[in-house]
Amino acid sequence: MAEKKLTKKDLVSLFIRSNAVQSAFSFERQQAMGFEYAMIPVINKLYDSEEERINGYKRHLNYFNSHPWTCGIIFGIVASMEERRANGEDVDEANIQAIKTGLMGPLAGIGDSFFWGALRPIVAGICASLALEGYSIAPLLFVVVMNVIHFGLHYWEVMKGYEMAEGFLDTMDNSSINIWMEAATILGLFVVGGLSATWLNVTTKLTYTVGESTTAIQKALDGIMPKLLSLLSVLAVYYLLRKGKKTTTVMLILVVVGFVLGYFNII
Amino acid sequence: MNAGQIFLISFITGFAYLTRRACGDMQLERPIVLGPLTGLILGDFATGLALGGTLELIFMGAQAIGGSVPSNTAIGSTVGTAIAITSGTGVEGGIAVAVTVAVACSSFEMLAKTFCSFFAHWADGYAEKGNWKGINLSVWMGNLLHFLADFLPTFIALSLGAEALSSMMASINPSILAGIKAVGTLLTALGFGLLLNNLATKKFMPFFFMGFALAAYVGSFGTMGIAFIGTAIAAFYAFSKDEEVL
Repeated sequence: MAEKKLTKKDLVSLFIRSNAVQSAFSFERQQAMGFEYAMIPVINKLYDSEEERINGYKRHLNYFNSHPWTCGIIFGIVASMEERRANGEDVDEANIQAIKTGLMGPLAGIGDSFFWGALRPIVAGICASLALEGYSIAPLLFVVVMNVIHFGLHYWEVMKGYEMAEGFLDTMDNSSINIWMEAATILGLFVVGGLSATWLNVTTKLTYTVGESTTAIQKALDGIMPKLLSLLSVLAVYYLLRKGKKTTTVMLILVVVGFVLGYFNII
Repeated sequence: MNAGQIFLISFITGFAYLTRRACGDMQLERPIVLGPLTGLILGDFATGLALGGTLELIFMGAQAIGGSVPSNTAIGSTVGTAIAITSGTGVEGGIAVAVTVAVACSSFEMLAKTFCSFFAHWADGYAEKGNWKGINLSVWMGNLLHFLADFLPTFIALSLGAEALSSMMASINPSILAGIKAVGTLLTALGFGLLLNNLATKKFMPFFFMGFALAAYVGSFGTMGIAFIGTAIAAFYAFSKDEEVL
């Protein structure tokens, strides 16, 4: 039997189809349908018998949930493992499942904290400020910058994942992944702090009068710390969310409080 | 708005959501993208741009992280922008509509995610028979359902609600507008609070305060300055920790 080999073209097709990872997203299987969709051509290419193909289709319909920007490496690794399996190497279904399950969580964490937590607020913040200054290039700039990073990274991940295959876990052990996730968290928190101070502008219009002179309370507050009310607002929201209040509840509270304060000219 | 414009705006809303499902997550659902696009369709790009920028700051943290569904940013952005332009209420009015609509529509994506279980089981059946074309079909039927989950609410909101909403918006008094503006300001805090809630651990919380103080005291720092220093700190942390492990 001739050796089964995935070509560069197969891997490019895997890269393209793996972008559909969140397809037909359901609470039950999450990204399983998308994972399956990407793997179908790989299974068809590697396995000749109907029985092996059916097993292949079935194993990738299992629950999967990672992050659309960082899951590429899993597709590369799994493709390489399927290739070894098709060539009779000792790779069983449980190994493939273990790799998928073991990597999807940490990679989702990196994706959420780094790309959603840090990169997107940075790019969106810059582009939003350009938009507010009237630069019509802002939306295009946002889409291009985000997606050059997105697709470039995803392509690299699929190829690199295939290349490194099982060696990946050796080069990047769990403690190493954790450290980089923590570093991403630090960056994310730092940026959220900076963005809050830059973009949030809660000020009070209240004044008090002693004898002849009228003083704006905001001026006194600025003397304590600039943007003090903005900081308190974010911390209040954070506190409520941490207390387990639902996002919608917190939003309703902000709508009511904000409306009342604004209506009576307090903020 | 004529029927063609309503259809087009509804279509780009559904399409933007569909790209999250089937095209990686291209971030096309962001207000910064959909606001200006809606403006373009309605012939008022400038308002769309301004509203897109403003809404982006409000919704910054409010996209689903880890599967939760706080609000529907895409529908909020297009409907908010469309109503702001056609009723002439400008940015403040648009914010109020966008936020209300975004929350009102938050359950549609959830419904699609619930009903997509059906297509997953459909795919199971096809897999059992070795019918990969059937599996592909199940995937795209699920995607179609997700598309409709954004397309239909937008279409309904724009066809039925636009006139009623715009005449209502035109008759509000200034105090109410001031109230709405304050709500917009405070909701920006919700976006950052959500991000903070997703990232914060006791150990790393001080970095939030460092970033805040830096930008609060030195206004000219800007987003890039913050990102620069934040990256340096994070890299320093990772490198020194990695050394310990190795």
